[in-house]
Amino acid sequence: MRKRKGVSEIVATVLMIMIVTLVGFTVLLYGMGYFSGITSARDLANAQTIDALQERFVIVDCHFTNTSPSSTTVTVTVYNYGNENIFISGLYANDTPIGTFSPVEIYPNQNNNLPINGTLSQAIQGLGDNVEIRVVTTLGNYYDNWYTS
Amino acid sequence: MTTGTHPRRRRSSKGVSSVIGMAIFLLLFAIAVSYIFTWTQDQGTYVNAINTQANLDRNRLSENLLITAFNSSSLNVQNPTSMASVITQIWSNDAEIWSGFQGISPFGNFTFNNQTISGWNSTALGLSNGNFEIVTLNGNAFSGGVQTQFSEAITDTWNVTWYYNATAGQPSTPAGLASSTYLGNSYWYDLNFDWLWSVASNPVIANYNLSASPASTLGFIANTTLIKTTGSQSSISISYYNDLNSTVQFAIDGQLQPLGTNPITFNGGSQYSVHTITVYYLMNTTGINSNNIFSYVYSLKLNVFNATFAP
Repeated sequence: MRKRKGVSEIVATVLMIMIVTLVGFTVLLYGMGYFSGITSARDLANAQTIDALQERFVIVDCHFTNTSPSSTTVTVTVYNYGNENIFISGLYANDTPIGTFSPVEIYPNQNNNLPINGTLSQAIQGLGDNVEIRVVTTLGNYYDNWYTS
Repeated sequence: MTTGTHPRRRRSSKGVSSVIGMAIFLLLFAIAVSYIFTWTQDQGTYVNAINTQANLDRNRLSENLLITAFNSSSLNVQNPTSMASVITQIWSNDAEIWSGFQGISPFGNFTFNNQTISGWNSTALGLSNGNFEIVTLNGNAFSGGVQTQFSEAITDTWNVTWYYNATAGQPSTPAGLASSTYLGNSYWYDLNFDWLWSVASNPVIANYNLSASPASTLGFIANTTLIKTTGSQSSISISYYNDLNSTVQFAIDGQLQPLGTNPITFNGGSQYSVHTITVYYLMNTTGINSNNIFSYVYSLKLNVFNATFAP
């Protein structure tokens, strides 16, 4: 009776230590994974916010070419004066998206600016009209200004 | 048996509960503290990024450049600030005519043309219309162009509006002068003139019937803007000399001054205050003399003290 009690106590203690260790490790690993996930998400969100903050660009030239009575090509040149690459993903004229525009990556201080071409499906009426041109980046920043067609 | 096992079971259960409780607590505590640590670190990085961008914006706003274009392929860029600027692009007529990196030292200037710097786009340069836009490393764009004689004339000069009274009789007041027939505008660097229409065949006399009796009247209203160069302790003074057969009257800031007052003085207030000056000049022609010659020499000379032209 006493012998069985002694064995039972050691086994019980060992079992208890194992169970506690197992549970502890499980909770610890889950917690570390959870914490790691939160940290990564937080870092990623913060990095994106900072990237968006660091985007600096300006339209240095914009001109219009009437390619047909119902079509106007808008050529915009954007200068990236920040330290990060920017991706121009949208081009608008008077709040209207310009159809045939394809996204362009612009490097910092890129001097040989690649013009961004877009075609309006409707010609801008009359020479000398003021048109609001807006360029938008993939991170949601934009620059707009008025230009004379 | 009963008395021996119960306390042990109770102690054993309490031990497990405490350890697990402690582990959960430590875990939650570590997660919370770590999250706060991460959040604080991210916030620090974000604030640093904002500070960096704010510094860049401050530099950008401090930048100012003055452009003087000589012709369609040469321009001077002056930096009136205490901060160096770097020019990265020059545009004209929707064409990029130059790109690179050219610094302009504080309070310095640089002339851009194909003699002073390389890298011109000769094709684009051929499209230049003399109006330039320069782009700086800070993202600013400044523009300037070749000034026409007209645009140069409207600053630092008198804007002279000519009138002719086609009907008989002479307008004896500035209001009468302004209500007569408008002839056109001219721009003078000063109002010092001295002339004699010597013969009746002179086109001016013939066109405006100045030789008739009673003669028609020719005159002008001249406007300019002056800046006071001295403080409130001294006045702006305008003394004038004119021929005896013309009438000159002044208006300062729209207030007509008494006829015959010479010199015209007015305090004008503080230094660098801006004032509009109007001069009404009437030529009282009385026709030609027996030799078919105008006997009068028409003249006006102004001296302005304690003021200069507004730029």
